[in-house]
Amino acid sequence: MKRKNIMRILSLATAFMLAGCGGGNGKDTAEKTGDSKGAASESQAAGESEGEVKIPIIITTGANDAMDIQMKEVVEDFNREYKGKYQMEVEYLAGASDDYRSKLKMLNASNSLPALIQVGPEPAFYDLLVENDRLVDVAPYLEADPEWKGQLMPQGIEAFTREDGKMYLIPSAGLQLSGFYYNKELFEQAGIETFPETWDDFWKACDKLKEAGIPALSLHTTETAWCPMLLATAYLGGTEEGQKFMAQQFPDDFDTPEFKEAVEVLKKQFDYTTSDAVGGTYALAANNFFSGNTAMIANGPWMMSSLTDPDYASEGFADKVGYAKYPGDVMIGSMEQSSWCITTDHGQDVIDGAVEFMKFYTKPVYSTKRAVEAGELSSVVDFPQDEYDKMIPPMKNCVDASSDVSIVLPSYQTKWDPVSQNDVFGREIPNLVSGSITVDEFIQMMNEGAAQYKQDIE
Amino acid sequence: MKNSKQFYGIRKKLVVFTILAAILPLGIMGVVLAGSINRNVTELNLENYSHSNSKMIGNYQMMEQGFDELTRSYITNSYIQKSLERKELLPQDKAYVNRSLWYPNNQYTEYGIFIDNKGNEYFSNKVIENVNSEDILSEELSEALKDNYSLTKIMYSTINRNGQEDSGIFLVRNIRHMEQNVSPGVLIVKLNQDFYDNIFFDVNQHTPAVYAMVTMEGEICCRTGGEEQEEEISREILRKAGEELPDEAGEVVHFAADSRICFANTDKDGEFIFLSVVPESVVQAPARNFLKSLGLTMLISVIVCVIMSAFVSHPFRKAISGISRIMSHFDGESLNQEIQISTNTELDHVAVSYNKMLKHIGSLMEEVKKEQEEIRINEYNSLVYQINPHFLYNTLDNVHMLARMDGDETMVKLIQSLSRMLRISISKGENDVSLKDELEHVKCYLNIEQIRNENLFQYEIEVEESILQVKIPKIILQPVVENCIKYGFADMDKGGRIKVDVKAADGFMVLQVSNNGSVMEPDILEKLNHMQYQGMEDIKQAFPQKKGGYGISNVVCRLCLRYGSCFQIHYESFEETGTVCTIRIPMAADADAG
Repeated sequence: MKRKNIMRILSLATAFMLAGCGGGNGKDTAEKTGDSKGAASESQAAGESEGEVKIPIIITTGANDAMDIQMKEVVEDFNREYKGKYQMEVEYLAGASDDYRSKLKMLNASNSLPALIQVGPEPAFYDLLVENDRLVDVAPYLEADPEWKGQLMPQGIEAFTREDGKMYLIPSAGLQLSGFYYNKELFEQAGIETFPETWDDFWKACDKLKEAGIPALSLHTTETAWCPMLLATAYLGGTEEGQKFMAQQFPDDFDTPEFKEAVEVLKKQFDYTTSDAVGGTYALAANNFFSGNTAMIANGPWMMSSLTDPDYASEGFADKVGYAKYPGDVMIGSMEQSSWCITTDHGQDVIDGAVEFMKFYTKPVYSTKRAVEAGELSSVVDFPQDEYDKMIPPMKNCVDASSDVSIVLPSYQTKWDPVSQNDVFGREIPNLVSGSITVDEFIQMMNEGAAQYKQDIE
Repeated sequence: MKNSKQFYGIRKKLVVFTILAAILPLGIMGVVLAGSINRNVTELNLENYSHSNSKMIGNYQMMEQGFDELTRSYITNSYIQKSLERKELLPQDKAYVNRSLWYPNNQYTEYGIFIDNKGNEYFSNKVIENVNSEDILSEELSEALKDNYSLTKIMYSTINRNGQEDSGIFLVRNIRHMEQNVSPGVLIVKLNQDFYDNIFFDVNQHTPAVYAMVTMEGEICCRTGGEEQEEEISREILRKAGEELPDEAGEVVHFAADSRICFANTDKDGEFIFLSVVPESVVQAPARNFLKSLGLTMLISVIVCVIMSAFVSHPFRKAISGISRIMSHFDGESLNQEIQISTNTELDHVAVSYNKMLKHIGSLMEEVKKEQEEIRINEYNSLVYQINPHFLYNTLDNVHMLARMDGDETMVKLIQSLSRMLRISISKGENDVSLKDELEHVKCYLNIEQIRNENLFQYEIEVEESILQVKIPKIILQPVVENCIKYGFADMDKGGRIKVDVKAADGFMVLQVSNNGSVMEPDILEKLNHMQYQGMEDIKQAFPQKKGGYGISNVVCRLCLRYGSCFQIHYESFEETGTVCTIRIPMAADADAG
C-alpha cells in the first residue's frame, strides 16, 4: 500500500521537475575530446604509480546530514571491495551544503573539480557546467548496464534525460521529502493536540504557541533562507497556479498573485520566531529547535540523524519530535538534490571508477539503508517493514507522511535563479521583515534579480 | 730443448707459475668484473644524467604548480571575478584589479597582462603600453586557451606587442567567473630569466653536458652547461629527441645522436622537451677510468706476486742450488763435502740425510778397501802356497821313504797324516771339499795330535754314508777339534774323548763335535754363540790371534760369507755332558755351490 503511494507521489513530483530540467539548455554540448584526452593521460600516470585509480570526492561533515553519513559508509565499503583497483579519495569539508557549493564553484573555475559532485540545488551552476562540457554524459553507461538502470528511479531517468538524449545527473534511488519537524512537548504546553493540516489551523497554532511564550518557528535569512522559504513555497502548493509557478525553471516573473501570497507568508512567519532569526544562519535556527527554544522547523529527513546525535540534541529529544506534512497536504522534494554528477576534469579511468562507484552507491542494499536512515524513499526498493518499528517517531511520521502526501512541490533551490536566491534573499528578507520594503518591492527585486541572471547567461 | 733450458730452475718455474696462478684467476675475475662494471658504471652514469632530466622536470613542475596556485588566487579574487561580470567596472574597481595582480607578484614573472571579457587590460609587474587586446595573443596561445576550460598552460610563443615581436615562454590561463556562465578573461604572463635559471636549479652544471629546455618544434627556450657556452645542439639531436620522446610524462629516454648521448623527457602537457646532451666519451669515462684502475691494480698484483715469489723462493733456491752443486760435483772421494743449510724446511732433513749418507758411504768404502786388501793378500798367499806345496809334498815323500826304510812306523804315520792333511788343506786351491775329505782332514789332524800327545785322547767319527760326497767348505771341523784339544783337554793327561758325528736333518747337514774336556767359561761360551750374528769385522775382532777361538772366528767368518744367515753354530758346555759344538749348514745350497 505504502509503496504504491510513493510511486504515485514520485510521479507527481517528477512531472514538475521535467519541465525544469528539460529547459534552460538547448546549446550544443558536444564533448571536447582533446581536453579530456590530456586529462586522461595525466591521471593514468598517477594511477599506474599508485597501483589503483583514485577517485576524488568531497563529503561535508558540518551539517551532520544523514546522507553524508551514509555516503561515508558506502565509500568505506567501496574502498574495501575495490582495493587495488579503485580508491575513493575523500576530502572531508567541515562545512554545510553552502560551503560545499562555494568550493565547487572555485574548483570548477580552476579546472580541478572532484570526480563526483552534487550540484542539484544549484541549477544555474549545473547549467554552467553542462554548457562548458564539465560533466560526463552518463546515458551510455546507463544503457550499457540495465541492472544499474533498474536500481535508479525511473522518474529520475526520465526527468534527467535531456532533449539530445544526454544525461548529466545520475538519478538517485529515492526521494527525500521535506516537511515540518515539531516539538510535541511544546505543542502540548500550548494546548495543541495534533499538527495543523490547514493554513488557518497552522496560524492558530502559531498564535497559541506565541501566547504560551514559545517562538513557533526556527527561521533564518542567510543561506538562501532555506527554512522560511520552504514554508513560503509550500503555501504555493495550495493552488494549481501555485504548483505551476513552482514547476517553472528560472521564472522571470515573480509578480503573480500566488507568489505575492507566498511572500506574505514569508513575512508573517517572522512574527513567530526568535529574535536572532533575522540575519541568522541555518545552524542557529536548527540549534533553537534542538534546544527546545522553538516548536517547529521546516526541513528534510536528512536532519533525522542530528535528532539522536548528542552533539546536537539532548537524550530522548527525538521521542519528543514529530514530523508532518506542510499544511494543505504538501511536501517538498527534488530528486536533483540528492543526485550526483561525474566531472570531466579527470581521465577516463577515473570516470569509469566514478561510474563503478555510483553503481555501488545505488545498490538496493544501500538504497534500502538510505530509506531507513535518511528517509530517502524509493520506488525501486521495498521499504523494509521490519525496520519501521525500530525507527524514531519522527522517522516513522516521515515514512507515513511521504507515503500519503497529495502534493509534492520541487525545491525552490533547484528552480530559481542564483541572483534572487543568493543576493535578494540574503539582502532583502530582513528589510521585508522589518517593513523597510513592501511585498511588492520585494517582488520587484526578485524580478530584477531574475532579469539580471537572464542577462548574465545570454 | 732450448725452451726447457730457459725454464730451468726452481725459481724460474716458481715465478712463472706464480705469475700464471696470479694472472689466470685475476684475468678471469678482471674480464667478468670489467664486463659487469663497465655495464653497471655506464648505467649508473646514464642514470645520473637521467636524474638531471628528472630534476629539470621536477623544477619545472614545481614552478608550474606555483603558477597554478598563483593564478588560482587570481580566479578567486573578488575584484577579478567582478571584472568578468557584464557590468563595466568602476575606475576604482579597475585599480583594485590591477593591485590584485600586482601585489602577489611572482618572482618568475617578467610581465603579466590580464584581459577581462570586455577587453580591458590589467598589468602585473610592469605596464605594457599600447597593448592591443585583440591581437596580442598569438595563434598557438589562442589555440591553447580554446582547448581547455581553465587549466594553466605554459608554452613557448611569440606575441605581438603593438607591432613588436616578443618571444619567450608564456603562461596563459582562462580566468573564469565562478558563478556566471560568462566569457572568461585571459591571463598572459611572460616568464623571466629567473624561471629559466630555476629550471636548471640543482642540476650538475660542472659536467661538460649541455642542458636545455626546447619546444616540440625544436626551438631552444633556455640552455646551460657545456664547456663552450655556444656548444651546439644539432638539429639531428632535436629531431631525434622528438621521435624518441616517451609517451609517459616525466619518463626519461636516452639515445645516441651526433656522437653524443642525449637524455630527453617531457612535461605532462607535452609542451617542452627537457634535454641533457653529453659527449659519449664523458658518459663512458667513469667506466674507462675504473677499468684503467682495475688493470693497474692487476698489474701491481702480478708484480707483487713476482717479487714475493722471487723473494720467498730465494732461500730455497739457494739451499737447493747448494745441494745440487755438491751432489753434482760429488766424485766419490770428497766425502768430507757436507751440505750446510738452514732453511727451517724439509730441505734441512735432506741435507742431514745426505751428510749421513756420505758418512755411511765413507765407512763402506773403508770396509771394501780392507776387504780388497785382504783378498789381494790372500790371492798372493794363495799363489805362494800353490808353489810351496809341491816342494813340501816331494820333501814329505822323501822323509816318508826314509822313515819307512828305517822302519819307524810312528814317523811314517805322522808323515802320512801330515801329507794327507796338507793335500786336503790345499785341495788344488778349491774352497769346497767333500765331507769325506773334510773328515779325512780331521782324522789326519787327530792322528797327528794323538802322536803329539800320547794317550791324551781317543776319538771316533760317525757319519751317514749317504752324505759323504756332499761338498762343504773345507777346514770347518779341524779348528773345532783343535779347540777341543787345546782348551778342552788343557788340564788333562789322558782319558780324553772326541766324537765327530755328521748327519743330515731336514735339508741341513749337522756336524757335531763333542768332547769330555773342561767346561767352557760362560763369557767365552756366550761370545762364541753370539759371533754368527755380528758383522764381519766384529767377528774377526772377537778373538784376537792367539787368545783362543781365533780358528772358530775364521770358521764363522767363512760360513757367514758363504751362507749369510742360513747357517748356525752353537756351543753347549756342561759338567756332565761335556762340550758340544753343533754346526748346521744347508745341504741344498751346498749342493748348488758344489
